[in-house]
Amino acid sequence: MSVQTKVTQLNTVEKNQERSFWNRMIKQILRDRLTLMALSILFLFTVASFFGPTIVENALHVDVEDASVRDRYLPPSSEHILGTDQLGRDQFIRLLYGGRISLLIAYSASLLAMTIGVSVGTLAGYFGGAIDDILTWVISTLSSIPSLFLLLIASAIFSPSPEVLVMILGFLSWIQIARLVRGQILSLKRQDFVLAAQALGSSDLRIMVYHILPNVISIALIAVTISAGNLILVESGLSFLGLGVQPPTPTWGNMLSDSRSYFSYGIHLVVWPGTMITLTVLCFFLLGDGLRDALDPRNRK
Amino acid sequence: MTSYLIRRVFQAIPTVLGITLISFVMIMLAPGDPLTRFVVNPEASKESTEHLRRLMGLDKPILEQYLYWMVGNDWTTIDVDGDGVGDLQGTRLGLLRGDLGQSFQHNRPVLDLILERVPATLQLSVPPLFIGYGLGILLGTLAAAKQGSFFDQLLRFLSVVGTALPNFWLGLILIIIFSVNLQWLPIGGMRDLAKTDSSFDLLDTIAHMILPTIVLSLAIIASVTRYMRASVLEVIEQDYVRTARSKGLSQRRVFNIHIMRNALLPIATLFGPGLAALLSGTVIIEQVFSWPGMGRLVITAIYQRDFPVVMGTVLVGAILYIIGLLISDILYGILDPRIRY
Repeated sequence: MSVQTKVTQLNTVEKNQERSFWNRMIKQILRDRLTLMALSILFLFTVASFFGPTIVENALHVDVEDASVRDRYLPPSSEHILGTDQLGRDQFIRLLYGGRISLLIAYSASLLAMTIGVSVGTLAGYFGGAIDDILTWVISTLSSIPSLFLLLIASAIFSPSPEVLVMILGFLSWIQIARLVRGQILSLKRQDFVLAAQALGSSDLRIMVYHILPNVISIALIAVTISAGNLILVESGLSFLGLGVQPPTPTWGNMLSDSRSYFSYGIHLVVWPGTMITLTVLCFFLLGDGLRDALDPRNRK
Repeated sequence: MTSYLIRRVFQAIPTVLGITLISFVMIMLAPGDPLTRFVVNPEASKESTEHLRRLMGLDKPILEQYLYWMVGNDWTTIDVDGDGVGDLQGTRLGLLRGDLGQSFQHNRPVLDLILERVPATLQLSVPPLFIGYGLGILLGTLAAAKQGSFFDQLLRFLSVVGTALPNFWLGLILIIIFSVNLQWLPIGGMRDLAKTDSSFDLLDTIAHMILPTIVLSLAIIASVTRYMRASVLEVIEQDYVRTARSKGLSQRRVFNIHIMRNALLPIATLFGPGLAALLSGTVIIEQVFSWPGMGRLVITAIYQRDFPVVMGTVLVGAILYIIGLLISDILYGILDPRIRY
């Protein structure tokens, strides 16, 4: 008899686990081959560009800035698999270094954007009233400036190191997330479980963190994945204009910007940085779409 | 409708004020003294530097400077020699009376500089708007009509790739292919510089516009196609479409009246953000194709630390965007008669 009870309990535990948020998401994504592929490519790029440079430095004893005038504009060969640039630097190694900066900026800036966006959106949506009015005004003002113009001012003022760029990009891209979260919370806070928590005397902070936040995590996650892709585009655009990360620190954007003057010597200088940007952004967008399919309850059939 | 429009214009005023304040404060936070670029001679006396600083009003607190920038200083006097008595009548009219200040670099009113450039930017950004929306709506509808077909799959793939492509890279590659290797099209600029007369040559203009227009249109086509496809698919499943079909209405009538009109609604809301993306796109694309528009003006101004021009351009960009949002609302109202303002 007692064995019987144990078995049923075990089953319930398993069932609950099956229904948990993350489990469901992982299951859904594992079934979606395109999303899985995007995730793998992103993972590969991230690992390669975060650990690649260390390996290059310590194992191969090659420095990223190793220039050699004799080896300029070499086409791809077995020695330099993606060729060399105008100073004879190996393009593959520079792409790894550039990827580290570009991806690091995208990851940190979207993390910052998500933190600010979720906090502002939660505060505005939950408290309403004057707080909501002020925050909504800030959001609508900021979002009625095409953000590239704001970025241009900001990067003109603070000569951008990667850290500064993360701050600027993060502070300028939380708006969309805040708006989504606010909208979601406006409908959430009228729901019974929130009313129940309020009736039980939970503090506002507790309700926001334990009851409301888990319900907005999914839309924030989708938004932040898409925005990471956009941030890669924006960062490379800024670097291309010469207003982003300054050379000699390589990023995919300023490598493209350099290549503008030298493409007649070697087309590989234009092709590869652009391909890396496109592939990475594409993967972020596909992942975002996949997450939306996995998480948005409206899509669940 | 009219009263709604008037109300919306009034609502836009605080937003515009906010934008002026934000951009002004940001510029003022800039490290470095804007005067350093005026005082070319390192041995310039401290007195003459201070003289210049007071003349330009740079010795005042930020908020006071903002006030002068907004409403001008022709109603007061400038204390040029620093003795506490105003001795020069102010000449600035202020933003509210259409005076965006003088460009440091060109010594000309900022407004003139910008107005010179606006037509070029519009010439570059309006055609992609029509091409992008036209083709995007068409392709999105076709994809939805043939949902699941090879054509649909291909379009879905292409439209994601289209949004992920950095437009400056695409521009660069098109230049390399069509202007450098094949030499079919000009490499950049707005007109053939070899021609001395300033007469308008349609063929020449079109030749210069083809590549940038393709690049700018592509991003819009890609995103409109995606939204249109999703929107049509959603509408097709609605009850009123089934009702219309079961009433025996012709396929075409159901499509034109019941499906298209409703499916276009979300696309109308896309117009505002789309315009913002287009404006940002033109800034970069003008740089790639050496197009003499507002984008090039602002980038050059940033390199030269010509702050009045930077602020003026940002402001004009923001106002264009707000107008875009307004158009978006009006379109929505036209498409959806349920909305009463």
